[in-house]
Amino acid sequence: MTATTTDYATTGDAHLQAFGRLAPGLPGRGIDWLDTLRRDAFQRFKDAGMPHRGLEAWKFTGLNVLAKHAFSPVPEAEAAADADARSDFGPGEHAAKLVFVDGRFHVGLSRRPTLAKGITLSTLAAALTETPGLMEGQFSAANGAAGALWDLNAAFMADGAVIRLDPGAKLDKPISLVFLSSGAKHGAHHVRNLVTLGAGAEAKVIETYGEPSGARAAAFSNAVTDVALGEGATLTHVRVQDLGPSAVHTARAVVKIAKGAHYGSFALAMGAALSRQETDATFTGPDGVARLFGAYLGRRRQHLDHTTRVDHAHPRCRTEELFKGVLDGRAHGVFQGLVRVAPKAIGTDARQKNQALLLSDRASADTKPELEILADDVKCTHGATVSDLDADGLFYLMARGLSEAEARRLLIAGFIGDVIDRFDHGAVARHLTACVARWQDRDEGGFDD
Amino acid sequence: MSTPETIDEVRALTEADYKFGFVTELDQDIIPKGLNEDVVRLISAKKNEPDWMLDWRLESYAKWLGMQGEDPTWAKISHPPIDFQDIRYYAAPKSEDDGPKSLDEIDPEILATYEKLGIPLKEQEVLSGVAVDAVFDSVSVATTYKAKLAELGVIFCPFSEAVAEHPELVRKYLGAVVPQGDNFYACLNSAVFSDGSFVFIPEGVRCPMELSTYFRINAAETGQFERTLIIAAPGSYVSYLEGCTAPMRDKNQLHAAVVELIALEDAEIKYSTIQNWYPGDAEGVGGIYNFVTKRGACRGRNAKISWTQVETGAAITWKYPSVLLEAEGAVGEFYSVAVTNNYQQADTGTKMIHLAPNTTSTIISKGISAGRSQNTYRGLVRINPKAHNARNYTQCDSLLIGEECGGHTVPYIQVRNRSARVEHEASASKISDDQMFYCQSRGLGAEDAVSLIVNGFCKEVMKQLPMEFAVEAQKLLGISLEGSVG
Amino acid sequence: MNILEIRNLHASVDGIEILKGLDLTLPVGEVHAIMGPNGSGKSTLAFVLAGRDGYDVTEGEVIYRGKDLLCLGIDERAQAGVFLALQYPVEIPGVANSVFLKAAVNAQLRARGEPELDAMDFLKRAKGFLAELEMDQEFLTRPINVGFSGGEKKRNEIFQMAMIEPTLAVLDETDSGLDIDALRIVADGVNRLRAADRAMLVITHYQRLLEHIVPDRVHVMADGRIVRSGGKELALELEEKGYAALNGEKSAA
Repeated sequence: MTATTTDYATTGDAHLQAFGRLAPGLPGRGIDWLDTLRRDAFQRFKDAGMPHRGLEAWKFTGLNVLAKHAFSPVPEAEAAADADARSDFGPGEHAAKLVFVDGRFHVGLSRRPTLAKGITLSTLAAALTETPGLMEGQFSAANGAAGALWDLNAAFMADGAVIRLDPGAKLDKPISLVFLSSGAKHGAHHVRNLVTLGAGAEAKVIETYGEPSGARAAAFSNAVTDVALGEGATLTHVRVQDLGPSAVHTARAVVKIAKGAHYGSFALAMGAALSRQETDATFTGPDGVARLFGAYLGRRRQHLDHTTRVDHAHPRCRTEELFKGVLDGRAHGVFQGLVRVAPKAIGTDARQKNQALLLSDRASADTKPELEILADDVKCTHGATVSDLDADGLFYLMARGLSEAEARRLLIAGFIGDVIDRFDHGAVARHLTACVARWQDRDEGGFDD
Repeated sequence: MSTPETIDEVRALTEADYKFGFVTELDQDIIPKGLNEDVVRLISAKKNEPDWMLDWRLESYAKWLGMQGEDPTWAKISHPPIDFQDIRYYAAPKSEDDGPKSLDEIDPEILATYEKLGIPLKEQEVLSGVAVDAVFDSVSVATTYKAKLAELGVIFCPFSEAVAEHPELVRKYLGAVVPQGDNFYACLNSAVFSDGSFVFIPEGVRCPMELSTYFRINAAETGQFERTLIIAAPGSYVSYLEGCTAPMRDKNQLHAAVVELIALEDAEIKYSTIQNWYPGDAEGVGGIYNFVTKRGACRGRNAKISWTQVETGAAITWKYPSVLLEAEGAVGEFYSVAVTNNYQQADTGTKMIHLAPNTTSTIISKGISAGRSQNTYRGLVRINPKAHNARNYTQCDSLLIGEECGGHTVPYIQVRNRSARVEHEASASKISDDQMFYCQSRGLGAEDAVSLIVNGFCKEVMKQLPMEFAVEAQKLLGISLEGSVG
Repeated sequence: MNILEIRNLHASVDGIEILKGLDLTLPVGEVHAIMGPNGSGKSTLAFVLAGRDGYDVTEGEVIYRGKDLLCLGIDERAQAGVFLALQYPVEIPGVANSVFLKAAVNAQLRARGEPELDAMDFLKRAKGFLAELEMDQEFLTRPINVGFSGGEKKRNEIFQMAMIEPTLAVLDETDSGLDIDALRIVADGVNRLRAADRAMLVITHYQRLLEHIVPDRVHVMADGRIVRSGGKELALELEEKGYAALNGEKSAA
């Protein structure tokens, strides 16, 4: 590791040391293209180091915590512990449920009924062993220094879910992917999910990151989900981060949207000490739609970051983004949204909105909605607001007899409910609403922490 | 989608004459190129500066040396590295050591230059009520209406004169808003600044006329390092206008000015700029580099500072007129129209820093890009923990003309106080075919239609300009977009 | 029994005194109208009674059902049976009308020591009132006042009043922005809510509302005080002569 101003030597060092030792045990060993992918990624990480605040993309979020503790990747044998980890995370109704503990598939907690024809559900480890040929090319490509975490994930990915739908295949109920961090102290888990939808296919995937109750695991989970949507395919992709107060979580969805395909995403951040959920969407054909929604609910000293980037390189694609944050205690919320429109992307329609509610004197919000427009025939807007709860709204509700606490709760529920409402109206919406209610019910001791 | 004629017209524009491009052949007292401590001393000596001023310059120069290699690179701007030793840092027209006592004493060539530029130095022009501090290549040549303003106690004079006659004011306020080491170009300016304006409005005085000054860069490779300081004492008001033009040259010319505004309790400073620096020719050669640091501090309760700018020139523009809202009830405003064409690059915007309660800021930015230009709005709104009930409203809109230009928006919003209310909106679009059709179907020609629509797009900003200059601004918009639309 | 007794009420907003010694007595079972020109302080009175922040009472007292009202918080007053129908009802996106109203009704019932409504009871009660106010049932699922026309917002206020069953209802310019049909519906709704154990203050600028909601007494407000009181004919007199004529009388008084 180059000795630069990046003093995140500890977690980084732990990984640098572990690679040689762990690589032979990682799935897909011996498959040439995969070995190369891992090696190149590792080398890039070695050269660039952990992202730091000097990089524009990391200006508001520092990864100091990864320097203070050496989060290290956990070899398989140790990870198998804690088979009793209960998990009632994820939606009540699902077509199938894959549970991973500390980044490795846990067959006991999972549920894999036979699915309809044309729908394949597997794990990364299994798929690399059984059908390596199919896997090549499904992994997203690396991209620059801002991709150091992607590189780390590529080098160390030990498992994840592989979902594939053949052209025309449709799955009505969601596939639930649950990623649990057990109590193993300062473990680092790198999970890679691959979701591939053939032309006209439809599916819903809900990822949940959590801990068995009381675990308070101090773990670093670094996930990447590569999504490839074929022409006219539709994916509803939900990521719920509901980890414990000591967790560190970074996740990126890398999405390719082909002609006429539709990607709807909801990223909900409720837990962890530090969380960054990224979405990187690229239109690879015209007439695509990307709907990126999200909510971040922070208390105490949490730092919650949502970063999105949408690349319009083809005509007539549409982007709709709405992210709302509720920040209490000393929580710090960050939203960065970049929309790039290339010269050929005529007819682009991109709308982006971010709203943050600051509920306490020490909560804070940073927002940077960014437009890079190189085409003229476009309609692009973005808006951002930051404020406290609306005084008029509070008065109205209290003048109808609701106590201040009830009124505040209702307004916050409504504030976030608005995002859920615009995203979906069915089971997914109900699941998200329940998650938010759970957060509101929790110990509200963050009030002027 | 822009029509084919649009594209042709854009190309036609690049061959248009730059209206103000010409050079005055003058005998100039020019220091050789390059920058070192001796040059700094020479500049100071030529201006007969007292020791404290020289010391301040030398401190700055030392700081600047320590900053080598740190010239800013993060803006969305690309330019070849600037060779600071390849620039002349001082050029003044030769005249008596005693400055001219009336217009009659001015070199007639200089006067003629100003006439071409339409600067009202003649007596008749003076009747229109505009006092002009005309800056000719680094040295103020004439100042009109000094006497009249003096009656009110208003000081409006060249910076060099202020150093001599009002040292206590200069010492108190110079660098109070933009400290020497603030940034690379401000630091350079602090070492080699040649001249600029000094304005002091005493307590309770409402300055009765627009104060105005014109700049011009003439001698080849002479960087323009203006230094302006405006102080408004409690309860006072001043409206100040700055406008500039420059001649044709092949080598890029550097303009690194520093403007500091200080508004005390209940005072108001309105600072308007119409900028028309040489933008470079059709191939992007030549043209001015405009790297300016402009900052205002509202230091007293309810102080107000407004920046209004219409920017249509320069090859590269890098400026963020900012306001520090340091006292309760302070108000900061930023209104901007920035037009880029051909190969121009602009990365401009504002910073509104809320440090006290009940402060308000408004940002309205309109960017128009055509040709192959890149136009970026970069803004920062920061609400600090003590800024209770701070309010900000920002609106930035981009209008894109043609397929090869870029319009970008990069706002940073940082809020550390829950009672604040921050609202930001931005949009990017082109002139719609429907709008064009509507205008043309009512009998307007294409260019007139565009002019109408563009003026409508910029209306909110244009109406902030002092009336006398609003007309020139509108004309400027028209000229800079001439031929850009079919 | 008097539901409301206001004595020498002085109140300021942003340091400026708006109510300058207002006196008013409202007996139970009656409907009183308050009329006055713009700027007379009518809305200020309404907000002071509801307890809104920013409205500072500097002198005087307000006795509600025999007890001091001014020492209670906004929600406490509401739970004690005070209801303010706003002139400009607020939009609250994301919060469904039904969710909000059920919470409000139950807060009232709790305060009175009565059993709370469950979803079924609530719906049953709501349906009837909705039909009377000619409102569609699906309105219950819509977020509060979002996308409502002026008339719909006012009907929503009356619907809430019907559901909550307040003891003192203060209606602030309920007729503003309404066309004839909407006015009729709203007025009928208010009239249906008249009761022997309830009292209402109808604040209005124009006389026409009072043709539909006939008051027991009319008070005229000017410059922060009640300057004249009379029967319902007073409203007609004002209509004919205008508020300016009243000022002449006021200075003579």
